[in-house]
Amino acid sequence: MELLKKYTQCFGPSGREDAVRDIIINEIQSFCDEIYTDALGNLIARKGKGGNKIIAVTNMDETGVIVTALENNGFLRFALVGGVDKRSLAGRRVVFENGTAGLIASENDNDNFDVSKMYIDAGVDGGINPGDMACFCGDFIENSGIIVSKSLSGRVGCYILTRAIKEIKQPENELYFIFSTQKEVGMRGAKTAAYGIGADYAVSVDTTACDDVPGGESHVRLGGGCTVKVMDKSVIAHHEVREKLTELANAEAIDYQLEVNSNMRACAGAVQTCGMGVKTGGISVPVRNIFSPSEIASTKDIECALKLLKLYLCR
Amino acid sequence: MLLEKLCNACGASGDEGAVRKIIVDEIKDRADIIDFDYLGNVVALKNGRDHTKKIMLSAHMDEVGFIASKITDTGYVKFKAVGGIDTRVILGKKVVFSNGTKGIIGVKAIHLLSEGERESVPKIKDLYIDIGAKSADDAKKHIEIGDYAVFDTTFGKLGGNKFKAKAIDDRAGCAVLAEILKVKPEYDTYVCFTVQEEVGLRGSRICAERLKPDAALVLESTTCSDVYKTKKSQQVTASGGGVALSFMDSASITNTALLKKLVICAEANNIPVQLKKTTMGGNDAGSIHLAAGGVLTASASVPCRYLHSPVGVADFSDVKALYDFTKMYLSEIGGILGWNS
Repeated sequence: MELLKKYTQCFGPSGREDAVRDIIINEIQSFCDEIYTDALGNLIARKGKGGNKIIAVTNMDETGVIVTALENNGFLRFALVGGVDKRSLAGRRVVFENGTAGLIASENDNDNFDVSKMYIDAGVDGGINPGDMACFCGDFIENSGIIVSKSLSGRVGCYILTRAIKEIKQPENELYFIFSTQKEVGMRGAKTAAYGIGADYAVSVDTTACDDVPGGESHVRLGGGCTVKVMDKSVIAHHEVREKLTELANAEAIDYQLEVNSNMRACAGAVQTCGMGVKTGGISVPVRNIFSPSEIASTKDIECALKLLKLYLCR
Repeated sequence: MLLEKLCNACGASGDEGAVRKIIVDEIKDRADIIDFDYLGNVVALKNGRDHTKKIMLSAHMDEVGFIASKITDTGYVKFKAVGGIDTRVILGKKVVFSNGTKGIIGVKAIHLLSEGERESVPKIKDLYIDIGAKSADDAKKHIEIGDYAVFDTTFGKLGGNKFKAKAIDDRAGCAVLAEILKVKPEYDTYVCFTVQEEVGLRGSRICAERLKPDAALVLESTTCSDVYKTKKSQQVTASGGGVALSFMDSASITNTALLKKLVICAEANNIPVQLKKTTMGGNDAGSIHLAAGGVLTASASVPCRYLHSPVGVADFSDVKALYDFTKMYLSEIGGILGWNS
C-alpha cells in the first residue's frame, strides 16, 4: 500500500495535477507501449495493439481551494475547487504546492457556511498569490484492512490502473488507460481524453459513496467487494459492459455489489458521450466519508476491483 | 466609432443579425476568408506567415435581453429573460425590440405598493413590457411572439476616459477583434465572432470543434466591482486597471504555465494586466477548451462595472490594453508554447 499512500498524499487539485501525473508516469512508463498527454493534461497510456479497443478511465485530481485575493497582513481569501462540503470547512488544514500550510477560519461563528466570509490563515506574508491552489490535509493511515486518507476518491482509481498496467502482461486487446484531469469540477478531462481513440468499450474506475453507517441508507457496504455500476448521476451503464462485468465476477467468485447512486458522478459519464459514443460501464470502490479529508476504504474492495478490471480488460 | 455602433445595436442571443452585419461590413476587406455556419457564427481567417498552427480568437456578438412570450388580452407583452438577467435592475427600464418598437418594463407606482411589495423583488413572470398598445390587436401589429428586445441605452462618454453603454459584454471584445484583423499574424488566425454565449456558450463550441485550433484566446468583458463599499479583496477587477486575466471560473481552469507566461510577457511589453479575482462567472473558454480533444485556452477581459444591467461602465484604456494584449498574444504565443524551438 506504499504506492497508494504516495498517490493519495500527492498534491493535485483540479487543474494542478502535474505532480500526480509525474509520479504515475514514473511508475508505468516501462510497462506500456505509448504514453501521451493532451491540452487538458490528461495522461493516456496505451498497452497492446489489435483486438477490442478498451478504455479504463479514472481521475487524478482532488478537491481543494483557490486563492482569490490577499487581505492585508497575510490572510488569504479563497473559493472552492470542486464539490467541497462547506459544513466542515472552518478548522480544516490546507497545504499549497510550495509546501506552505494554512488553516481555514471564518469571520463568523461556524454555523455560517458563507465561503466569502472565510479566509486561510497561513501565517505568512508573501509567497502565495491569487490563482494559487491548495489541497486539504489528511494523513494516510492503514489499519487492519482499512485505509484512511485524503483523496482516496480518484487516487484509488490511479492505484488500480497502475497495478493493472503492471500486471497485465500481453494483452490481446488494445488497452487505453486514461488518468484524467479536472473531474471534480465537471469531468472535464475525460471529455477530451477519449476524443481520438474511437474505443469499443470503456470502464471507469472510481469510488462510490458508502453510507453503511449509523443512520445511513446505502446498501453498498464497506468490505462487501467492489461495485459494478448500474447507474449514477452521470451515466447509465451500458448493459453489455455491466453484464460482462457481473458474469466475470460470478465466474471467478469476486465479491461485488450492484451500484445505483443518484448523487455521484463518474468519468464514465463523459467518456460514453465522446465522439460517436462509447459503450461504457464502471467498477467502483466503496468509500465512507467521501470528499472529506478522512475517506475510508477497504483493501479487500480495492483488490476485488483490480481483479475484476484485469479480467474485463483481458476479456 | 465602431465600439459605439456595436454597443448600440440590438443583438440578444439568437438574434445577432444586426451585430453580425456591422462586423462583416467592417472586416470584409481585412480578412482573407470570411465564413459563416448555420448557427450564425462569423469566422474570419487572417493568413499568417506560418501555416503549421491554427490560432482561434473569439468574442461573442450576443448580449442578454428579452424575448416576447405572449401578448395579453389588453395588449401588454409578456416576456422571458434571454441569458442572465437580474430582475432587480430591469424594473421600469426602457427596452427596444429589434424591429425598433420601444417599450417600458412596467412597474407599479410606489403609491400603490403594499409594505410587503416594497421589501421584495417581483418575478419576471409577473412583469410585462408596455409598448403603448391600445389593444391586443394593436400590439400584434408591432410585436410577434418570439421577437427579441434589449435594453434601450445609448452609448456615451463618462468622465475623462470612461464610457457607458449596454452590451459592453461583449461588443468590446468584438470591436478589438475587428481591429486586430488589420494585423498580419505569425500563424493562421481564425477570428471568431460567436453567437449564443449568454445562453450556454453555444456558438463557440461549434467554431472550436470545426477549427480544431492549436491554441485559443477568448476576448471578453468581465465583472468589475471597484465600487463604493466593496472591500478591496472583493472587487474582482478594477476599471482602468488593465486587461483582466482569468485563472479559474465556473467553466474552465486556465493552464497555470500559460497564464504565468502571458503575465510575464504582458509586463515585459508594458501592457497593464490584472488577475480576475473570483471563480464566479463563465465564458466561451468553457466550451472551447473542451472541444476537439482539448484546446489550450486563455481569457482576457475588459473590466465592466454593472455587467448585464441596462448600462455598464468601462474604461477606454482597458479596451486599448485588450487590443495590445491580443496583438502581443499573436506574436508571442509560438514562443510561449515552444512551437518555434
